Amino acid sequence: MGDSPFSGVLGAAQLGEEWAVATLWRELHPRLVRYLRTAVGDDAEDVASDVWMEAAAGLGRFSGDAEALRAWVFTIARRRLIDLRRKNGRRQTFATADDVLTAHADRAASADPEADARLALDEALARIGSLPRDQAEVIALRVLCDLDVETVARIVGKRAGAVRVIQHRALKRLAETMAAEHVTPAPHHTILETDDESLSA
Amino acid sequence: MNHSPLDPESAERLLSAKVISLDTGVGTSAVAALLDAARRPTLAHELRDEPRMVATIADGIRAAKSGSTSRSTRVNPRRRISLVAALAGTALAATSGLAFAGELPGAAQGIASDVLAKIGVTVPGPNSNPGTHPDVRGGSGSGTSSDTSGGGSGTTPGGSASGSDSSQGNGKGAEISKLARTTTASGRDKGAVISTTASGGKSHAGNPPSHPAPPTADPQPPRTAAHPRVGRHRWQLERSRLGRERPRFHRRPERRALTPTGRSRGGSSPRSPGAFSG
Repeated sequence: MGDSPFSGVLGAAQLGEEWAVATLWRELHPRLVRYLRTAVGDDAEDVASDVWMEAAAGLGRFSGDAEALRAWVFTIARRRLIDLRRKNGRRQTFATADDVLTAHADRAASADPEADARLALDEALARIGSLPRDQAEVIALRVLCDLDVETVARIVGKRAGAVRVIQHRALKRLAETMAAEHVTPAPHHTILETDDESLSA
Repeated sequence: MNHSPLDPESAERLLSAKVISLDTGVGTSAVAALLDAARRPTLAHELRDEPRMVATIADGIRAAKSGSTSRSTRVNPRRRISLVAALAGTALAATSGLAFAGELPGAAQGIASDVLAKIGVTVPGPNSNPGTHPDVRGGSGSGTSSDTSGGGSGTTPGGSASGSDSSQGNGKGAEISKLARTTTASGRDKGAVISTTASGGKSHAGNPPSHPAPPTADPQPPRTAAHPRVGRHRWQLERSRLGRERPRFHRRPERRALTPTGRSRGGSSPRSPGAFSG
């Protein structure tokens, strides 16, 4: 979906056309839920519904490209998380390290590719969610939401340099933790995808 | 346990999914795999609520769109507060300026002088502001509210007394007020006494003449220069009140067409006295 097709989809979505809303929803909702799962665990779907309703109320006034839309939606999501944390205190509901290890151990016994992928995703989200909050937020926005450093810096209200420092610390922390647990990558992880342009393609 | 020689550049490359090298250490390889798993394409279970969610979102968009017009005309509460504060500030500044200049009406100038004196600001008092405005609150000399209510019933119909009294100062008001308090008459007679005094004998309120004066030879109604039509109407009402005739509506005389020479073809002028039924 390039900029020109995106403009058409956005314009139709702003009129309430369901096909266009469905296009945007398919692109954004899985990323949104994954991002929210790193912060609130099983409550992610409920929070995502609130985010979508707020986005629906303001979509008519939105203007910008696909990345701007993504940044806007995740800015809404981040504000929702902040409100939720204020309301619930510091309670965290994402999976604990034990859950991660259990899921990782069970993954080898699974024969279903879909289930295998789902467990790998759950493990990844749980590990990201176990990071300190600022690190988890930056990694989630960079990886799950596919946003660049400058956009993430605008969303979290920090300078780009500070975001780079945070993401470096986060990856180092993950690497040290997984090395200590002797976690080895699965064979299909030897090469990562080079480009992910699902929204802008 | 340093299995992760991960520098900032490698971290950025991992996060941006550009170039991946897994020979940097066990931990780093595991991180690369973890990030890959997190970027995994959408799984089927992540789209299970699509029809319901899309319909709900589309409804929300349409509802917001239909309500956007009325919402745009609504004033933002913050903006409303700012507007009210600005108006209040402007009013306060204007009032203070007038108070400093001594241009407020006498009673208001007195209040402003009293209030500002409490905060150490001296402004002219009501006596420093000569003019036609009353210098004290209430504006009726020594009269109280109960006093004015007694005298108020005798004002002439049409309310012209207030206009004429204002030019005569407070003396007449005090006189009327005193009369209202001291007169021994009561009820209708009291009203008649007060209204007669207040109007200088022009008013017959509460005291209609039992023997109306004989009609004058000339039935021409009194006219005011500014509003002749109003004068005629009041004259008709006055005559009907005195029992001489019933009120009636008068048909406006037909407008006569003017000849090219400017003369009317009719026999009489439309403004002639004969046009009004006497």
